Amino acid sequence: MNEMKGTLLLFALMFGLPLLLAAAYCRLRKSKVLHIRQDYVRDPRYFGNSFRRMVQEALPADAEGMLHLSRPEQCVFPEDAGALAEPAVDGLVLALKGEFRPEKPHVYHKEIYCAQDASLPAGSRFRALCGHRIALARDCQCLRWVDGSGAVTVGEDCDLGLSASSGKLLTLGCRTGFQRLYAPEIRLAMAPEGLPPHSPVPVPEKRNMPVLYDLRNLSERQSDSRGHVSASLITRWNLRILEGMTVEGDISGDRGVRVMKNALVYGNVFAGGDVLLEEGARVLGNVFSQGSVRLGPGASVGQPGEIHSVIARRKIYFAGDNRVYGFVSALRGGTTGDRGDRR
Amino acid sequence: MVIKLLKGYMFFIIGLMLLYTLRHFYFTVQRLLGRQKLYYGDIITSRMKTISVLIPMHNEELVLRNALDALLECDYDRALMEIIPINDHSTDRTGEMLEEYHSKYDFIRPLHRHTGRRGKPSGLNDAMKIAKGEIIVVFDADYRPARNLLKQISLGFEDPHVGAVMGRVIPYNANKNMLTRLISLERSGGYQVDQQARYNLGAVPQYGGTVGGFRKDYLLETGGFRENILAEDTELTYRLFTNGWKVLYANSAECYEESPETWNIRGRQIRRWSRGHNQVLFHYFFPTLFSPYMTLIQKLDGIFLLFVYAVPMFTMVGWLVSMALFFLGEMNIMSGWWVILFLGVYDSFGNFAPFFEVGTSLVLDGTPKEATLLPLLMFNFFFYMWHISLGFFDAVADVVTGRTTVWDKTARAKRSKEAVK
Repeated sequence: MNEMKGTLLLFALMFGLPLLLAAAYCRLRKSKVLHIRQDYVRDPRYFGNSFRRMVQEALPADAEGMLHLSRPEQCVFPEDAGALAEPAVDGLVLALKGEFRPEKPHVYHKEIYCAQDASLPAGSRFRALCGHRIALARDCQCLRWVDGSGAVTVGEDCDLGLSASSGKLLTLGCRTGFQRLYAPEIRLAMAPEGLPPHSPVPVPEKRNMPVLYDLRNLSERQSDSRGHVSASLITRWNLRILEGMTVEGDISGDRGVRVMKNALVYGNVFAGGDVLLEEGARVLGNVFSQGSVRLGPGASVGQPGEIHSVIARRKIYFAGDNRVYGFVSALRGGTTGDRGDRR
Repeated sequence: MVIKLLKGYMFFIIGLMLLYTLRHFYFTVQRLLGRQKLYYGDIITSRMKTISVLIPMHNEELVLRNALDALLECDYDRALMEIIPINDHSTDRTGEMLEEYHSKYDFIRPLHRHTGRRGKPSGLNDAMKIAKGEIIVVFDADYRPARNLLKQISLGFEDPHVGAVMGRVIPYNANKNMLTRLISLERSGGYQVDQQARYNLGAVPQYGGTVGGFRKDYLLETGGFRENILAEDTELTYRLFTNGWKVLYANSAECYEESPETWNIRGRQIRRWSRGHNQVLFHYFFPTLFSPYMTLIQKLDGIFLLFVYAVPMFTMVGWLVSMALFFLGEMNIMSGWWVILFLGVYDSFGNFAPFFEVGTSLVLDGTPKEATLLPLLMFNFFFYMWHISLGFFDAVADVVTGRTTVWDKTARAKRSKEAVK
């Protein structure tokens, strides 16, 4: 009998205690309503723009050289004699008068704000940099971001950290790593002589475009006499767009998509697997991959006057002489190729 | 013979509950440890689609300003968008207030419906006929979209395979009472884990009828919403998947909603959902099984999802059967190692399988202490079981009699914008 009572008591406790605890918690503590940033608007140059705004609102620095941003920051003024004497610069660099052109490489532990142009010598290391026109010589390393309202030029073997952006033109040298890039025009691992800029292609209205399902290869059989296919493509398989073909619609593949040499896609390319744009291939819309993206020599995404994106869940590789008009993002980072191995 | 039937039913219910437990567990593990698919929200493009935002409204004078003012703040190019509030047989000041907005903003074009059938599907069908946008985005009148939400939803349609996009709903009145707190937990588990796991797995993320969008042309070509089906969102999900389209889930496209604040209102809402969902079950069971477009995992998940609002009724009957067997002295239906199955079912009962998902979602959302409330979901479980079962029988009666359904609108709490903030 006692055993039975004990069992019943144990049952009542095991059943009732969690309920009592939950009821007490419900009564005593308020829930945390999940926060949605109602005013959030996407800005691909957010880092540079918000930092500029913060600095400009906080200027001038006080008599002790402190600038009050989210917290007081000791400032370094490059025009002061001996300001950059040490190889490591601990303060926030404020280049308010003239261009910022240090002769020797330094390690900048805080951000660099330049009211005008900036040019860092080879081997420089910095946390973040904003200015008008920016030039980074070879082997520079950025920890967080770099943003220029004018052209931004990056030499070979650099690391661009989290984000590099420009209001006009972003040029990356060979073997340069990045995570996010943004500019109306991005040139990647382009030879000094470069390739001529693309001429805009008028893209026809795509609404109600017919769809071809489950192709594995897009070839002349599906195209008109010009090699054009006036349809969008949706497939569960790996898809190849054969050389020189033109797809006027969008492409969506559950697996990989390979756009072969000199093929052209007017619309977007979405792939569950990897995307490969071979030599000279062009996609005028967006490229989005749940895997990796690789652009062969001379391949490009987007076109002048428009903004489009290349996004990969894994990595992005630009072999060389590539152009992207807009935004590039690779969750696991991307890199430009070496001219020596591009062919 | 009767005893054998009852015992057979017990085997069925044990198997069913174990399958659903495994399903929830699999989704949870996938969300925690599996490969997470990216949504298209990071895309920046200058070729955005034209959209029409439809807001069904029936006597919404208390909340409509919240939704419209929030939409006016959105960063979508106004040349590419229009807002069509659907004044559906309102008897309060809804129509008058909408005309005030129209006089200030050309692109807010109210549709006043005073004749014809009332209800969300009928209202949406009428509005789609006058909508100019390529994409239809739907919000309920009590929702408050964030500034970038329209862009987030619209970007999904850059993919030609996508027929609908679904965002995430977050209750803003979670602190009102115990019911709203528990609904908040359910919402968290349902979106953060269940929907995202389905998206990750390439299964069947569900279009939820609001905070989402779909392609107008496809819907009009296929006859618009079926006005007799009360779960027009679930019906659209299955129509799309069985015809070769995809539904995307955008976890980052978040929007506040108002949860029901009384058990009575919640009960009626759940009963309507159950009725509509089971109507879809009766229509789409075979098309889902035999669709040439759906993959194996989509079919499997699709069938599980179709039965979601039938299972509580099966479970309730299972309890009645187990009690009958107990009092008849016939409960010894399993012995030896088979008892493990019983334990499994008992365990899934004790945990109410979705608990895995709710608990995990609370961790992912950064509110792990809320897991203390999990035992209280037991009350919802029994409450829902009853109302879902009623909804199931409503749906059966709909199919048998062919009667016309009547939309039962969820009543709003009186809530000012300041209270929302």
